[in-house]
Amino acid sequence: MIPDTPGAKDLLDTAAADLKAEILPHVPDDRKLTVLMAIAAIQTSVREMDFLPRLEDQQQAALAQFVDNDIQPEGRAQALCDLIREGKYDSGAAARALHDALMRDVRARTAISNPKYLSAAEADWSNRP
Amino acid sequence: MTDLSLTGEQGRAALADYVRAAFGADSVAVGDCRKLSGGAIQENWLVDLEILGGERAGALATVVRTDAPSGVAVSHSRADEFHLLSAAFDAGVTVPEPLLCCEDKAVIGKPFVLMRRIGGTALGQKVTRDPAIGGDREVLAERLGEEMARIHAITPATHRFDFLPGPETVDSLNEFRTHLDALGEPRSALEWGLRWLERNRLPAEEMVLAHHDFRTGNYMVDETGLTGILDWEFAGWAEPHEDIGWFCAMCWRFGQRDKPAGGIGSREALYRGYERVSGRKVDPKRVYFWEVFAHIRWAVIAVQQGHRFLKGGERTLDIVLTGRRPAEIEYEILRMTPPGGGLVDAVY
Repeated sequence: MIPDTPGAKDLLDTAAADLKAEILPHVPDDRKLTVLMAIAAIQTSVREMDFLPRLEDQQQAALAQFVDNDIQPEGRAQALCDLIREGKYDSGAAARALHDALMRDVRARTAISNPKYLSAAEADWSNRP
Repeated sequence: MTDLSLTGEQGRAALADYVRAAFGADSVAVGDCRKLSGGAIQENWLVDLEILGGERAGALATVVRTDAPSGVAVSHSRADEFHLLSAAFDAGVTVPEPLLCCEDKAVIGKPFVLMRRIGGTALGQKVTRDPAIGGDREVLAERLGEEMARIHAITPATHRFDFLPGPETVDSLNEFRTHLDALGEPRSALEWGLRWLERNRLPAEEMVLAHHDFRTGNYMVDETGLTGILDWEFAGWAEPHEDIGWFCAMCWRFGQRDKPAGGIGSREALYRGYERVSGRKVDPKRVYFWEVFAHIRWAVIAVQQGHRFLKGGERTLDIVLTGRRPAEIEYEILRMTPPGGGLVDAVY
């Protein structure tokens, strides 16, 4: 037994490409935004299929690093928020390590939701003194 | 059930009759009448009126603004928005002239406000990218600074709005922390940003009337320049720099990262207009603080939109995509708040 191919990603990729090439040019101006949003939604879904498992592993590893491991995994995100609010990560090496981990996480999530934004933002910030 | 809405003859006739009585006219005819697309919180209708007799005789192009089926709790009622718009109009702010406010649901099925229609476009992507509209961009940025200053001339000393929380009770930072907590979604990057705000807060300034959504996308421009400031539904007492930070925040530049004044111009031009009219000096550190706050506020609103999709049954494309925006906003927050980094001048 093997899964059917072409798979979900192939189907979605093709649908997005067709919407862009075949449909979008013929849509009236006041409806173009809807088609563009549909294409964006499909493309985000495709990227999520690729990256979500890795992202979840990365998030769990980071949470394990910054909160007490006696806390059950499902409570760790809230526990980290509580620690930040209490000022436990205000300064020093711990703050730097947490900030690095948070940056890694938002980069990974933005790479899924809006990679174009991420590239422009990274280029902009890297040019600042 | 009777359909009083403006989609039907009955609603249009009721609107005409209401306007006739309010303006002391002999008769009012409703011509073109159509709903504008968009507007998750309000519905806007373009309504052409032909008025015979009375103080407003002649053709009158208007906008009728009503609540959409799903209002947002923190936004004002149409009547409150009318009071704020009227105060701004009287203070010389360029806004659509407020004409009538009807709180009687018996007329068109829900309360509504009638405003004089203004020309141009408000679409952020178009305003920031199309050089054919808006006129010279530095002039536009300076003009917007002047307009904001005129709004900020409305203060608790000059005006009373009983429907607004008192200026002494306003705490924007805690308000959005409370909104975030209510969502029950632990978001560590936003928590980091909120903590940074808490640690870098400066003593409060005097309170003024803030528009609270003064940004590209909420003003209209035509080929010559500004035609009006829109969307007064969130206005309230706040520190003046909060509006400046919201206008300049990266999330409202529509991709024009090198144009800090709303994706259209320079900070210098915006500040110049603001300082000249207000007589108040812009403090670049306070602007930086409120830009960080602006990103947190917008991220919380985006998370709320995601919840409207997931739990509120509003399954539309624009809402679901807004629900995926927080990641990029959190990126900006973290970049602006490195460990050990405090308040700096807003430059970029």
